[in-house]
Amino acid sequence: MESQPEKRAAAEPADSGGEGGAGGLPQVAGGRSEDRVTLLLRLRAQIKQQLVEYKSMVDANEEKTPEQIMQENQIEDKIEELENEIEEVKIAYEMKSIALNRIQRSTALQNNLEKIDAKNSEFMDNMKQILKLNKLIIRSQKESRSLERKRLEIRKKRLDLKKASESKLLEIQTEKNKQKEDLDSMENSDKIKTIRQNLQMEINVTTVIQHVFQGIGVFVYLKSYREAEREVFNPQGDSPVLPSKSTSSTPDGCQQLKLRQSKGRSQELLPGLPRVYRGPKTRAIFYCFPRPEQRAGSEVEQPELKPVSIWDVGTAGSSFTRFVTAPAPLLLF
Amino acid sequence: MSVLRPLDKLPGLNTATVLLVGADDALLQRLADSMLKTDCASELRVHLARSLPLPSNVNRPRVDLLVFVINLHSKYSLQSVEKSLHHVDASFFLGKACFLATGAGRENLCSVHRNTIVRLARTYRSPVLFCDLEVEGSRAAMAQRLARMLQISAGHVPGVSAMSLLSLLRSSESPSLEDL
Repeated sequence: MESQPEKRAAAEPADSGGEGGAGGLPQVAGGRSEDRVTLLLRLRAQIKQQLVEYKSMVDANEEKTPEQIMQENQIEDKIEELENEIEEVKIAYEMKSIALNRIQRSTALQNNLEKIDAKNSEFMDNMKQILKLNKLIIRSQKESRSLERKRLEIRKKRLDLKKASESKLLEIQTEKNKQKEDLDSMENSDKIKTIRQNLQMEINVTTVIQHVFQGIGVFVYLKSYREAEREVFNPQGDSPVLPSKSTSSTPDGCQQLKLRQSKGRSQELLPGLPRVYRGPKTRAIFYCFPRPEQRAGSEVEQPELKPVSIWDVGTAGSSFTRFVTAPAPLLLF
Repeated sequence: MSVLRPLDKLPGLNTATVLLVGADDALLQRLADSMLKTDCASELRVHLARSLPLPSNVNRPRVDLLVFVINLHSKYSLQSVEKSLHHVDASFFLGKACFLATGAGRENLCSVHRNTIVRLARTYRSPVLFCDLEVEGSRAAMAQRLARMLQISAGHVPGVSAMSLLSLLRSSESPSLEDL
């Protein structure tokens, strides 16, 4: 177009207005009819496009825009969403146009296939190749799908096994905890407490009995010894003193008896009595002896017996010494 | 008019108008000359402006493409462009506006980082083009590109609209840019 450069040279610097290119169009008078036709066609296309643009703008403006003030991030997201929508629409349009083209071409091919005989073989070869490839594609897709399914099944099985093992482990753990709890509760149960108390009581009773038996043993032993001693001190063969008489008369007869016993015991038993019998009770008995022993010298237990002289402190020197010495070892205890 | 609107006027027949906005007059003039020299079927009209808003007393055609020219060597150009952006209607940024950054090649003279321009373009969802307007070859190539874009924006190319071109020109977001 020769007239074009002239129009293009109508550039205006810095805000000077000027009318548009509409004035330039009538200058095409010198152009050929073909050029004119092409120009007209081009203009037609242009105007169509511009019309479409304006229509779309009008439609867009009819849509109510949200009036509320959105945050900047929200606006950004909204814009991205809309852009993605545009892309999707474009892609859909492209796909549809491709499909449409394919349909059009296939129909054209169908229509022209009968006409073109010379090139028939080529077309047929192409078509056969296309069919082969399509079959191959379908087969491989089927295979891949079945493999995918198998893989999925295996994964499901694995997941199930995992879950089962998890539950089993949980069971084991709960069982262990239960056992532990049972053990702990057993230790604190009342049964065991009562058993323990009973046991303690039994122990106490046995110790008491033990002590009692010890005391009795000592008592018997002393008694036997005292009788033996009396026989030694009463050579006339008088009837052995019945401690019971004297004991019954005097209020502290029991004490005297014990005294005698203790005296003899102190002489002989002191060294001889095994340590086992020297318990606290025996010691208590020994300790209270010295006092009554003093009185014993004044009181005459056996008035019918001669051996008053024995009990006399002044006469029985040796015996006195014996008696005197008696308390000392006693006291020693 | 205080705000520039894209569709407030009817289009001229076979005419496409581009408005170059930039602080540097010499650069704009050279670019305009290059654009007019390009081979284009439709008639091109190039308007130059230092800043917006344009004075309303002048009768001018509908602006099809708005190009903001930013010189990376001067911060003032960036500032003036940013000020002018406030006077542009939002519907311009649906494909009828783009940013042009010049002078990125000479790193030592750059006072504005190119990432600033990239970020600015991303906020306005518009394409950004880099070139060197001082160099003849680069200028000519850029002029051709702009002419093609102008044709599409004016609706002279059937089947392609400004918005579809915009989505085509949208570059894939690289992770480094996402962080900006």
